[in-house]
Amino acid sequence: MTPVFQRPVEKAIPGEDRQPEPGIRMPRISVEGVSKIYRSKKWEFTALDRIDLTVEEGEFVSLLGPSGSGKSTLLRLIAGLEPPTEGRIRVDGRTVKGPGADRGMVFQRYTLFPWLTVEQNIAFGLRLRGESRAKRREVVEHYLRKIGLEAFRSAYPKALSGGMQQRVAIARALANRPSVLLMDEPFGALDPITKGQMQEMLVQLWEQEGTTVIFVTHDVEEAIFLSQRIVIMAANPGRIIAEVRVPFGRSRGYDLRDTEAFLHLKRQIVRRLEPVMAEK
Amino acid sequence: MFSNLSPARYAGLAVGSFVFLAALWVVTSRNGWIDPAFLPSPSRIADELRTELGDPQWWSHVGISVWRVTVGFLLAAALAVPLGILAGAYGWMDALVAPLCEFIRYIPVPALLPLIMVWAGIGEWAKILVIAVGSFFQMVLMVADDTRSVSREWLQAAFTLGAKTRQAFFLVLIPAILPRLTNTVRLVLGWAWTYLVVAELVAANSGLGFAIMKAQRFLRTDTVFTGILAIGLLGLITDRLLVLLHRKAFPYLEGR
Ligand SMILES: Nc1ncnc2c1ncn2[C@@H]1O[C@H](COP(=O)(O)OP(=O)(O)OP(=O)(O)O)[C@@H](O)[C@H]1O
Ligand SMILES: [Mg+2]
Repeated sequence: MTPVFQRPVEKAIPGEDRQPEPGIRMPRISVEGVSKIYRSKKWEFTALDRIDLTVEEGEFVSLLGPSGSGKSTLLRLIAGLEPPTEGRIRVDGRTVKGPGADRGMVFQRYTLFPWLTVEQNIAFGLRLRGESRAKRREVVEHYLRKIGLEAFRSAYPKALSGGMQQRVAIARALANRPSVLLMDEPFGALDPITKGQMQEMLVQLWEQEGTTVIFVTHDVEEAIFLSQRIVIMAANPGRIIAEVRVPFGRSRGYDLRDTEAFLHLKRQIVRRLEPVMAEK
Repeated sequence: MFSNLSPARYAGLAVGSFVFLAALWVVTSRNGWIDPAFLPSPSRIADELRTELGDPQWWSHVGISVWRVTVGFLLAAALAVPLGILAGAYGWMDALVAPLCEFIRYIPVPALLPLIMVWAGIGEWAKILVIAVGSFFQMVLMVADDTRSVSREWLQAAFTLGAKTRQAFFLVLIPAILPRLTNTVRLVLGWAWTYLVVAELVAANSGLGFAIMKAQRFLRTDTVFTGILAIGLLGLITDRLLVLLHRKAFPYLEGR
């Protein structure tokens, strides 16, 4: 067993830390020639191979791909939880050197703090920043309403269902007002009905809050329903093989799934994915 | 694991096991199957216990034993808990502390007794030291293990919410360890009683261990039994108290 307390290394990367110049529009996130290679004495594994990706402010982008294609790894690199082996990642013009409050994350496994109530979990980031009690209460109220869990404000996570816990986890991340929300298969463990409800809630939240979202999934329908753009990845080595624009507008209802346009897009993506699914 | 029992049935069976043992004992002594010098009858022991409960001398034995365990244990815990947490949290601390503790842990406490007596004499501190030394090394390792088993994702979540190292340590790692830590403390406290008896059997003129030893010399088996019973009960009481504390302190574990 390795020690728990490994704060992600803040490796100094030489070179420009350009601040956004006035008048020039900068992408919110730019991933520039990023590779991630895991090494040990006996083996070497390329989890990500020269990834280039930009995400605009307010955009909702999904990373879609088979297991092992490095989706989670890419998200962790953007979060700053691990350093890239090569290349660099910039968020709002600043090179990522470690995790920070500007990049919120929602994990697949339920990671609420069990010793804190729903309210306290949502307020955690604000508390870290030393926000006043009044301000914390205001923000917590706002998000409790958004996720429809006002009645559970004083409950501990153990008393909540998986879907409710993920709603709180999303609220906890958003309460920090991050410029980017990174989500790693947040609904992967939920039943289809709950999953559908969560997706609609997320679309609404995204519309209202305008947060930039990168969403990892291997569910094609989920990717189409949620995103404006889908980045398709393949494994061995983890790489981007295609990008697909999703032509649907912002307001999306559940019925969108039954439209011809939706099914057509789905078939198109599945066809693109099939060969890389098989090569595993 | 394979079959679950309702709490009522569990309690019933548990009481049954005590009753069975007691009944066996009663039958044995009624029929005189075993010489009362080796196994006194339950009523004999009840009588003995009654006289002892009214004897200030006996209470002073109990008092001094409880005091030794408490001080020795607290001394060990005060050092072992922080050290264990640091060893579980930081690789370099682990390297410095864990292998050494692993090594010393395998030396049985009785083997260290002569050494401790040479260093600390046979006074009060020697006994306390035996308990402290016996508990310390186990506790460091167990606390380090508790720390290592904390979910890394909680820490990562905290970092992505903007936590600095200090904040992640005190606001996430420590609260995350506490429930397990309380359990560890409870286990080690049980062992501390073992070390107490070791210390008191060898070099003491007070305490429950000494009382048992003295009674044995005079073949007062009934007194030996009450001594053993007293130690067992004291252990049980502290254990239950800590379980209660655990429930009170960590209501969130049940989602309340
Ligand atoms: N710390 C690590 N050490 C070694 N290999 C790793 C490590 N982390 C990830 N990998 C490897 O990198 C590859 C990509 O992993 P990653 O978790 O990013 O995939 P993924 O696309 O998220 O897959 P999934 O859909 O199963 O979650 C996998 O083959 C994995 O085994
Ligand atoms: Mg993954």
